[in-house]
Parts: sequence; C-alpha cells; structure tokens
Amino acid sequence: MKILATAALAMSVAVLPLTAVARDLTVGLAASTTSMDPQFYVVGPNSAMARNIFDGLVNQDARQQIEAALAESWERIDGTTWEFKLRPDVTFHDGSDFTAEDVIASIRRVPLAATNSPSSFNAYVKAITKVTAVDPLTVRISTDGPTPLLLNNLSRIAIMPSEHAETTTEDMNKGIGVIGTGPFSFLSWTPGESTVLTRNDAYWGEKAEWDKVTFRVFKNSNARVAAMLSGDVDLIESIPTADTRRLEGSDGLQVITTTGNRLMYLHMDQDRETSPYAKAPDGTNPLLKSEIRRALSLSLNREAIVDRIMDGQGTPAGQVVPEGYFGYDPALPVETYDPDKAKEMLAGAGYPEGFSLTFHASNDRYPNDSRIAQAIGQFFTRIGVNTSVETLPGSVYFTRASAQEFSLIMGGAAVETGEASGVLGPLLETYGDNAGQGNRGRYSSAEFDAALDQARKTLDDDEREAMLQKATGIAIADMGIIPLFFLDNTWAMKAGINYEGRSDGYTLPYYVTAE
Amino acid sequence: MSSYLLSRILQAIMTLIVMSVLVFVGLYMIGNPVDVLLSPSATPAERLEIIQAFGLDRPVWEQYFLFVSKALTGDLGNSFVFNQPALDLILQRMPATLELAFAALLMALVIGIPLGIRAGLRPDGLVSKSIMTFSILGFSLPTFWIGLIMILIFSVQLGWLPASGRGDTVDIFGVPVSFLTLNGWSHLILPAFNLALFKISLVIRLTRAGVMEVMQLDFVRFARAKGLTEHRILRVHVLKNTLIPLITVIGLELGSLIAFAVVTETIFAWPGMGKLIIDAIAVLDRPVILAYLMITVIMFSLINLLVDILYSVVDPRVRLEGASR
Repeated sequence: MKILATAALAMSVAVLPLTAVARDLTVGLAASTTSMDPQFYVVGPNSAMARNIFDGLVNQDARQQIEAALAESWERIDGTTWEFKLRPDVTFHDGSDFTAEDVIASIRRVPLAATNSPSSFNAYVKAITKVTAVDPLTVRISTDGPTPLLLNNLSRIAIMPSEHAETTTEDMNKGIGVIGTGPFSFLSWTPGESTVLTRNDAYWGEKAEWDKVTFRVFKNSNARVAAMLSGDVDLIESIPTADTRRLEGSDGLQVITTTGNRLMYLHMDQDRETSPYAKAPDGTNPLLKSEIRRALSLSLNREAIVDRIMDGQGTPAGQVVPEGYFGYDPALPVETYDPDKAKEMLAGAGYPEGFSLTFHASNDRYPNDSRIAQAIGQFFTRIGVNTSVETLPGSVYFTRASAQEFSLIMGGAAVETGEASGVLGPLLETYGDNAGQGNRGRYSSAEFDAALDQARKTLDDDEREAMLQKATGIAIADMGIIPLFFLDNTWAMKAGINYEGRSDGYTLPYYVTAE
Repeated sequence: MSSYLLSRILQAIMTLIVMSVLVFVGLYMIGNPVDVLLSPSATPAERLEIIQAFGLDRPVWEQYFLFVSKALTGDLGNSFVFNQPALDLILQRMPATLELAFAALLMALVIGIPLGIRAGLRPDGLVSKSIMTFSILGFSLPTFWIGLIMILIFSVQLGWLPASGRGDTVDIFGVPVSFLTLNGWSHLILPAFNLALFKISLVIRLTRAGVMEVMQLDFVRFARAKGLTEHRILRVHVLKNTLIPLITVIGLELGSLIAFAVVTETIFAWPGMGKLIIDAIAVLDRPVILAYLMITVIMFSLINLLVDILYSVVDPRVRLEGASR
C-alpha cells in the first residue's frame, strides 16, 4: 500500500512536476506546549508533543493500551523484577546509538526535571528502586513491591540520550538536547506560538509521511475553526460542539469523532453533618445518604445532555472508564433516566419536600461546562430539589473545591493510565496523605479501599481486572461519585488527509496519513 | 527639565509599588495555582511538596518581600508552567505586539485624520455624514465580532488574506519584524485593521471636533482676511491647533493598544504578549502576570512622558513643569 502510494506520488511528480504536493503538514492545536523537556510537566499538550519526538520503552496506542516501542519484549522475572529486551539498531536524532545506558539515565533524570515542576513525573518512577543494564540491549527494573502498572508508568517516561542526563529543563527549552528516537526530530519552538518538527529518516518504525510538520497554537476555538475554514491549517483538534455541523457541511473538509478518556462526574459532600450548600429542612446534609445520591443520579437524562448540549459529542457513563478499557465492567449499566423513581427515593429517605442545594461548576475548563451545569440543575429541580447553579472560572473554582467550600461539584477526570485505577484512586480512595488527592467529596469506604489496594498489588491481569471491577461496583453502588458522560475527542481535516483519532486526544502527525 | 523628569520617575516607581501589592494580594486571594496545575492523580503529600517548592506556603507578605528583593536584582521569577524567566517570555513576544500596535496606530492616523478634517470642514455634506456613520459603527461594534466577520469575508470566502498568525519575519538588530516582507504584511493587515477600527473612529471624531472648533476662531478669520489660501490656513493654522488634544488621546490610546491588544491577538492567533497574559491568568501563573503588569505600567509612564514632551514641541506656550524655574 505504502509502496503503491509512493509510486503514485513519484508518477504524479514525473508527469506534473509543478503541481507536486509538498509533503508538509500544518496542525492547529488547542493548547500550547509549555516546555520542550518531556519530563518536566505532566499535562496533555506537553505529553502529546513529546510523543512526536520521543519514545518510551513502551508507548500507549490509540486506545491507550500498551504497545512495544523501544523495548521489543519484556517479562517478569519475579514479583518485583522486570526484564526488558531493547530494540536493536535504534539511533537517536543526533546519530548516537540507543542502549541500556540511555534507559537508566532517562529514568534517573526524572527527579532532576521535577525541579520547579508544577506537576512532576516523580509519581511514575517512585516504585522503581533499581535500574540495571544486563547487557547493552537488556535492562532490569526492580520495584519496591508488586507494580502491575509499571508498563503504564514507563509509557509516560521519554527516553533521552544518556549524554543529556544532566541537561536542565531551561536548556531544553532553548532547544539544547531535545533529542529522542521518535518519528520526528525537533527544529524549533516558540512558546505559545508554534513548534516545527522534521521527519526522522532513521526512525526504527515505518517512516512518517510528512517531511515537515508545523504545529500552531489557537487557544481560541473560533480562531481555530476559522484557520481550518480558510485553509491556513490542514488539521485541527477539539472542535467546539456548535461548529461541528458547519465543518462537516463544508466542502473539502471532514470531521472525525472518537470516544475520549475524560469522564465528567459529580462529587458530593459525604463526610460532614452540615454542608455549606446542601441543606435539608432540618439543616443537616442530605448528601450523606446514598439513596439521595442515587435519586440525584436517577433524575439525570444523560442522553439528553449529550444530545442537546454536547451536540452528540459524548458517551453517557455508568462507570469510570469507557468500554474497551481495562477494568470496564459490562455488567454495570448507564443509569436509566427515571424522575418518578427519584422522587420516590427522596420521599423514602425522609425528604418528600426535597432540600435546597447550590451546585458549583467551572465555566472555562471543559467543553460547555456551564451549560451542562445549568441543565443538571434543572433536572434536580424537577424532582423537587431546590437547586441553584453557580459557575466560576477554573482558577477560582478548583482552589475553593479543594478546600471543601462547596457541597456538590462537577469535575472531569482523564483516564491517563488507560485503566480504571487511574480514576478510582484519585477520585474515590479515602482521602489521606498518600491517596485521594482529587477526592473532593471525601467518599470513604473500607471495602472499596481494600479492593483497590489489592488490585494495585495483583500482577495477574484477569484477577486484577476482576478486583478493579469489584471496586468500581462498590463505589457505584454507594454512589461515591455520579458518573455523567465521557467527552468525545474531535478533529477536523482537509479531505484527502486521514487520522483515526485517539482516546487521549493527542494529535500525532505520525498517524496522520494522506491519500 | 531634570527635576521634572525625576518627579515623573518617582511617580512611576510609586505606581509600580502600589500595582504590585494589589496584584500580589489579589492573586493570593483568588486561588492557589497548584490546584489548577497539579495532575489530579498526585497525592496530597506531593501537592504539599510543590506548594513548598514554589514558596506558596509562606505568609503573603513574606512572599511579597521575597519577590521584591529578587525583582530589584532584575529577576521577576520563573513562570510556573514554562519554567523560564517570566521577563524573557514577555520580551520574546513584545516585538509582535508592538508591531501590531504601531501598525494599528498608523492606520488610525492615516485614515482617521483626513476623514476627520473632511467631516469637520463640511459637517453637513453627505460624505461627512457617511464618515460619521462609519465612525459610529467603529465605536459600537465589538472588536471580536468584527474580527471574526473580517476573517469570514477576507480569509474564508474570498481567500485573499491568511486568517491567523504572524508571517515571515526578518531580523533587524536582533528583533524579528514582519512588516518588511510581503507575507508578513498579508498577515498583519487584518489584525491591525481590526485593532485600528476603534481608534480610527476616535481620531475621526476628535479631528472633526477640533477642526470645527478652530475654524470658528478669530485667527482663522484674520488669516482669511489676510488673503491666505484655504489650504494654507488648514495646514498651518487649523491642523496645528487641532493636534494638541489629539496627541494626548493618541498617546494614551497607544498604551492601551499595546497593553490590551489581547482580543485581537486571541482571534487572529497573533503571537503577542496579550495571549500570554490570558493564558497566565487562567492558570494563575503569578510571575508572568506580575511581570506583564510591571512592563505595562512602565510603558504607560514612558508614553505619558513622551506625550508631555511632544506637547511642548507642538505648542511653545506649554512649558514642562519645573523647566523654566
């Protein structure tokens, strides 16, 4: 196929040399990469850009499952030691050979790159106690205990040449040492404006189709759409839901949509007798009762929210990961909309007259977040919960939500690890020094914690998946969070260009193909 | 003159101090950047570690004095998200913003003054009325809407001009500028006009009012009686007297063009300082916000000073305070 395409191109060049297609791609991104150091800051735009230039020992595929990359194969030697066979004949962009020393240096560099980081990669390597080279193409990694997620964690760690083990983030931001093994090599970066990459002709996999890729940043979604419509760019990511139809209807453009990994959910105050914004007639916190939380969940017509407000760009959720992800439980359905039953449950729990509630949400962090919040408020009001909705800019909202100043809030969590514990842990585990950072509702269940903890220590995949499903089942039965829906990821591109889309929302030109 | 300059500099320093205290306390009250920046999967212990590393756990006055003592050595701190000196980030983007602002200013003057004079000389003519209608539109239509419509017409429908970004740049004394290349101009013209529209209207109205007022004055009648041509009266006598209020307003407007070009920069994805500040505010990147506002204050002070000096050039009656003592 590839040979055919090349031949066809060669022919068209031969016949019509003047109209030969320049193999350059211009991509319109929604957010700026903040650093060229792939180990500096755990944030989507940085990780996505790093994937173009760097590889991990393993990578995450389009559905976030683990695939071989710089490691050809791996096996567990015992409960805490893993051995990786490295891919031979791989070279870095500067021409040096990739060997075991580079793996050791890259993992060791993580704490250095964490200096001044607002969110560091330390968490992904903290279980690793030792990295040794058995021979130039074999690496052994030891962990402080059974670590089933080691591969997922390693997929986040970019491998750099060992000569750059001491290169600082500041230097990399100047373009020094931005050297990986990835399909593209670094050419230039202007923060907030553009990044330019060129094809790595020595790439170990199939070569990329594009000679040069220019990423331009359009934070404003109208500007991004305008750039697409005017042909300034070949491909854009995250289309505003309202513009999807317009782009689909335009000649010479196409739109693709895939289910994303970001779960939108509600957190409810579950550990205080009185809550600032949820008050039953007697002044107590009604959200403490799981029947009440279930009633709120039953009152929501998720299909309608996705259809009307998200223009169809979402998938209703009944658990924390989308179908096809590790830990997804097919036996857990999406809650069916049933306002009558919700009213009955309210009455049964002792609140036939409902209660008063102020629901808080951000208004600039997720697509249509304030409109979704308004709709949810109306659904609550319909079953007799007297709800007012207040939306705030994210910069104000998150601090106050973390300080437990609210009673019922909306959030979004990305399944970054590609499996359920990546969401169950932060959102639902009992809040403490080393767990439950994002658990702003303070749900706490010993049974759930035990199941999750066991899953984290179980190396056998089937057993582990069963434990994750069990933990999910407990949390959903308790209504520890109310899952709403998964956000879809969207891209628009010129006809003749194809991209299959990714659940993590990354725009990776390596996988963009031209007809 | 020198005592005048000194007092202006002191004024600027006072403004800087007051502004930095306000911004510091304001940002402190809005929220904690770590809650916005940190990955949700980090543990509370990791969160605490980062808060300590950024010094955000200290009392606000202590953070402020730390900032001031560093600022005095020229270090305004590293951006939280870029891990680069905030000042560098801003200076890197300043040429783009300055270019846009000056292009807009030039358009405002070149288009605004002639139209304003025309409207002032024959206020009741059809042409003058059309000019005034145009200026009302320029005043009242929101910039972002006009910007989008311009993109739709000139880029999407007609395909004449690119919709966004900055064109090819050429380095002059190490500063990248785009107005020397054709490609650069094609990128510059839409955003500059978008930014200029409001100012054009302002200049038209000011010039018209000035011309109408001055034309009634005695010296114009004398000049006519003396037999000077209308052209000369206009050029030498009327225009010069109209310029004074115009210079004040344009001076201030230049400051706001530079500091608040942010709407235009956002719509046209123009890589200037305005876009940086919006991103910084969204994630509470305090060093960048502070550095940006400091630069803005300094710029405004400088422009005000220049305007005052220009005054004395245009109107010899105006003496700079302290200069004649």
